[in-house]
Amino acid sequence: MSQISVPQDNSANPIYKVLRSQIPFEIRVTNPCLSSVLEAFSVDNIETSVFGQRVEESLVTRVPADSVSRRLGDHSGQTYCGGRQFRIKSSGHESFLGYNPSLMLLTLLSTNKNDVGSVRVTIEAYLSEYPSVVTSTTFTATITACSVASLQPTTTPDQRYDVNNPATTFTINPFTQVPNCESPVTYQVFMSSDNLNFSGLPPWITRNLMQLRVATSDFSLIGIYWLRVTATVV
Amino acid sequence: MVQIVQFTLNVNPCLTTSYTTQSVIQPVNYSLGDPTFAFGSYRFEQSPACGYSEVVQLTGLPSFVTHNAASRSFMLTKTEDFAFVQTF
Repeated sequence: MSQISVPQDNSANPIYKVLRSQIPFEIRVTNPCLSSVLEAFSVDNIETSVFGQRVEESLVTRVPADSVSRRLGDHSGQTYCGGRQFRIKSSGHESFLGYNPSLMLLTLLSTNKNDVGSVRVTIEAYLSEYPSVVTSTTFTATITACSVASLQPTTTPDQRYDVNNPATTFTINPFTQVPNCESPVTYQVFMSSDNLNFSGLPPWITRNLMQLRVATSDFSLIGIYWLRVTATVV
Repeated sequence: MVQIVQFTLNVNPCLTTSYTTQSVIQPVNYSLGDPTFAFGSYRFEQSPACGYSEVVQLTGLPSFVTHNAASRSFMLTKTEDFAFVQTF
């Protein structure tokens, strides 16, 4: 607003009055982050097997810069427009693919044989304070069939049979699969009288699945025998 | 013979009857981080143009905008401060 003081009349000692005029105008300050552009980023494909190891992929180093933060603030591309975060946009893989926002960590873990296959996952990066500023990429999450990494033997205690006595039976303890794929396992049992040379079971030891039956009246068989169980994942 | 004619001369104050402006300052749109720039040249008219000195008062002017009384315009200084995101 501007004002001037002017006389009201032509007298020698005029009374003054004030005339005013004004020019209103607006200054609209906008936040450039709202129209910033996030740079492209990538996420590596990720793979594990059913009952396999948990696979993790950190996205900390994948956080994309944005155009305004490249130009303003410390010019790092990461700070002026504030923090940024990821979110998974695709669906159908929630049971085995997870994302921890606080750690920016993708995790892949499957405990279901039905997970086997590959899915294309869409993941977005966005400015935390300006969620409409988004960029996205895709990666593949693959679940392969369960694969037994090792078979852990389970000890079967030593057994005793007295010749010419009623038959004795004992059970071979099944081996433990790691991971537990519940895959079929075949067992073979061999015997040795010297703990060196093993061969198939003699007629006086019969096997029904995991059960062994010992029965003989032949006193010449008295001695110590070593039984060896071999397990094979089919 | 000598004749004398006497008269008076009244010197009166100039009487400005209107004080207006034809200036229009367009709205200024500023995105944080944009460069410094000048804007808003303005002018007030006295009719008749008696040339009385003007007293310009500004209200609501943000701190990053300065008024240049000599050139009758404004200077917006570059700022990146989010606190200024509003309409003044």
